[in-house]
Amino acid sequence: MPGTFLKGQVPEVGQRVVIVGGNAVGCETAEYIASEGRPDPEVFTFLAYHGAENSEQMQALLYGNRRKINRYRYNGAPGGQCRAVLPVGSDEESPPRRRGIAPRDKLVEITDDAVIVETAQGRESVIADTVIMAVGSKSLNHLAGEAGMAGVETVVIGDAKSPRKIAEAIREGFEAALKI
Amino acid sequence: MRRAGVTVRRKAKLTAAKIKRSSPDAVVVATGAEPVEITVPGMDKPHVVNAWDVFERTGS
Repeated sequence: MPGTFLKGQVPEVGQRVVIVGGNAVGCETAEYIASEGRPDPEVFTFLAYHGAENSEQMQALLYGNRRKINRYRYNGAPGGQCRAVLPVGSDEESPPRRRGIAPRDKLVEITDDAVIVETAQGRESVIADTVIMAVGSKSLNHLAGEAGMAGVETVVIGDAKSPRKIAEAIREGFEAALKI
Repeated sequence: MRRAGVTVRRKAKLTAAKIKRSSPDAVVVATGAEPVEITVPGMDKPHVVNAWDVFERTGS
């Protein structure tokens, strides 16, 4: 249970990353770790303006950490929503490529240095020094369902009701307050 | 919070019995969510991390 053993620890993210999960969190995680180490636009503009580096070196800055990132859905979960925005990393010679992920690929096993994936062509081994799980969230609201709460007016809002976006949580909070 | 008259209690386990005893007009449960954990062989290996924890890192 990664959520448990990592509590209070800072996870290390290596160079060969597999992300399991194809929805918003999986996509955002891919974007986030792919762009780590990349200068922000202001710094980049400053360096370019003052000619701090030649154009090749400036371009290299944008390729950032050169992580190779593969994203897979887990059995049956919808995936492939953000194919176009997923940078997959690069080797030394070429800029980051973009690669589509076959929607039927399935995660079978995680070994010490790879992820075993079932594809239409058979089993594939994808090298990974880090595997990031982004397979979704579930509500934490057991208090509301406890027998001892019978007779107490209880309103469940936000992710505790159903994990969604922040705007919905804010609206529900507002509406719940009005109702009470 | 204090100006609005809200008392915040931290580091105290909240139970249904405690809530009942204080007889509130209403209880709003906004306890959030937790990551789903799936069962795949190798899930417990140290290089398997959760996306939420990755976002909580303070840079690398």
